[in-house]
Amino acid sequence: MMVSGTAPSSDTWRVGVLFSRVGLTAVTETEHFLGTALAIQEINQAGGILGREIEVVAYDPQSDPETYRRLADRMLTDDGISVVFGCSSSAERKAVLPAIERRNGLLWYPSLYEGFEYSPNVIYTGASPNQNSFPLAEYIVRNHGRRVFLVGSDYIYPRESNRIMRDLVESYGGKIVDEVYVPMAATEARLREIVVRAKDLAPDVIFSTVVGRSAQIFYRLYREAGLDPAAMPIASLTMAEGEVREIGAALCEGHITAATYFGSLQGPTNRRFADSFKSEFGADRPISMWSAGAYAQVHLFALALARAGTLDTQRLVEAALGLSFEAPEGQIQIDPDNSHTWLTPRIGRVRSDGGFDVVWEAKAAVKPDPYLAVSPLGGRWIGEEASVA
Amino acid sequence: MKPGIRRLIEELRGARVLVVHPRDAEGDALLDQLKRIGCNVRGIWPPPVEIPGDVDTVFHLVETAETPAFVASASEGGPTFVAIVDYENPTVLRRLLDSNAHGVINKPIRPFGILSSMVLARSMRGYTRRLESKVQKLEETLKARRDVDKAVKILVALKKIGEAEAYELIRSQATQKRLSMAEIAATIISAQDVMAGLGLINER
Repeated sequence: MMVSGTAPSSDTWRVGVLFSRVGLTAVTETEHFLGTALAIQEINQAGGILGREIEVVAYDPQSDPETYRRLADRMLTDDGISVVFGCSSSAERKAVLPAIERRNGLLWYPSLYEGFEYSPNVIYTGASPNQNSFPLAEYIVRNHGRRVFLVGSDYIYPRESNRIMRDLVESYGGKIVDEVYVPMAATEARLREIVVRAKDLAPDVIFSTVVGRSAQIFYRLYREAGLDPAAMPIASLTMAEGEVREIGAALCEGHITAATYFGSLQGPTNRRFADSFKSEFGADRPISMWSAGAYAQVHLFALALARAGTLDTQRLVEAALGLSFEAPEGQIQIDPDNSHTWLTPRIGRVRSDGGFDVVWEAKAAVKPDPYLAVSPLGGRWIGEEASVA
Repeated sequence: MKPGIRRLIEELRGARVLVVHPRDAEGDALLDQLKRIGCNVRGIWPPPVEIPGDVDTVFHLVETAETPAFVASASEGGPTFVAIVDYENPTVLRRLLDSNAHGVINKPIRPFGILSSMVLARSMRGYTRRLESKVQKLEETLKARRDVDKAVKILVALKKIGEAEAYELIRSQATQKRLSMAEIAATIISAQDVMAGLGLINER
């Protein structure tokens, strides 16, 4: 059939992968990368999609939005790629979006974020605020107390997450005692000031949206200052197994994270995922929401591609909307109205071994509500649900 | 600022929005995004003769052709009006200005930007409405003030009294009759007109 060698990849599905391996968010993005790689390998070993394997073009944007923008442009123009799995932070996603929309590509975005976005060129498979912040706010006010201290890295995700958290905490009768921001690459001295501030204020909970390496330093300084997670836990939406490992589990024990996945989940799909992840990347490598989410979205893509039979963005999106998949966290589904994903909210507490005890989980997957259009402030989440712990 | 944005966002929930745009892919994209935002939305085409009374925000396509009923024009007490434009030539810009729109979105319609345009337009509408009612109140105050001054002068001439005394007279009449000073003043002014017309008093 082929008359010339000009189309060497016509018998594969070429896709792009953009996750950082170095830089501020190297730990979480490496996990995105490994989850993506594992899923692609599984699919290819099973014979690919419609008989064709997935071929990957991957670059390392080094946790830098500007580099993300440049590499996304290169993928969509020079490499002729339209489907990209990538981005972790909102700043990275926003940097890539113009290129994706202009070239009518399709970005599969695996990370939780602060909501208030919809693009026909993005499938959002991470949690929206109604799937993590909402139950977390009720949980901390009920179980730890009403005085909450907000700290964050200074960019859009922490600012908007804290705005939402303030409304939520107040709706449960709680009070925000202070709201403080640090630079993305905060110095140890600056983070120590935050710890001192926490000590002075003595809140019941610290809600932290400090991310990346700064978060790791912050958790370490917190314990070095003699603060006690049992009395004043740090609650987070991003602190997962990988970063806990980096900091040291002993320094993190007792802190809280709201997420839709924890490595410790007991379902059969998670055991299967954990087994193949560990056999591929090493038994001591932690698994977390970052790798599990990235893994699940590649499988959703494969299902959509099998239906559509083409990488054409419109047809792929049409095939993807409404699709469900037995993910490591359980059944998930792409919402046909907003292209975000139905996920099961959970709250976990760090154990001494670096894993999480799930202290609360929703009974089933919850519809994503990125614009918080149907999620009332002050709604009941925790009360009726059975506590898992 | 914070309660402000929270209120603006909350008001979008259940906002009753009318989209006046042909029922095509772009019209659907706009309807779908407004639903995602949480609005109560319906579409209509061709443009209705009259905007239904139960909508508070209208997205309206500004057409190049002269259509007789560009009814969404921001009238007093009317809905928030967001224009949809697909050309930027002077003809369309002229129609955009004539429409008194509070905001504008461009074609091709993209989901991104609709929320910002709508929040800004609704906020501008509210602000304009507050300014309008303030201006109206100020105008009334100013007119009342002028009438009282005029009535004082009439009384000064008729009764040969001082201005302060004349003013007091109007005030006590107003209190007695439970009317505003402006109303008493207007009565004095029109009475003076009539009496002068009848030759009962000399016009000054």
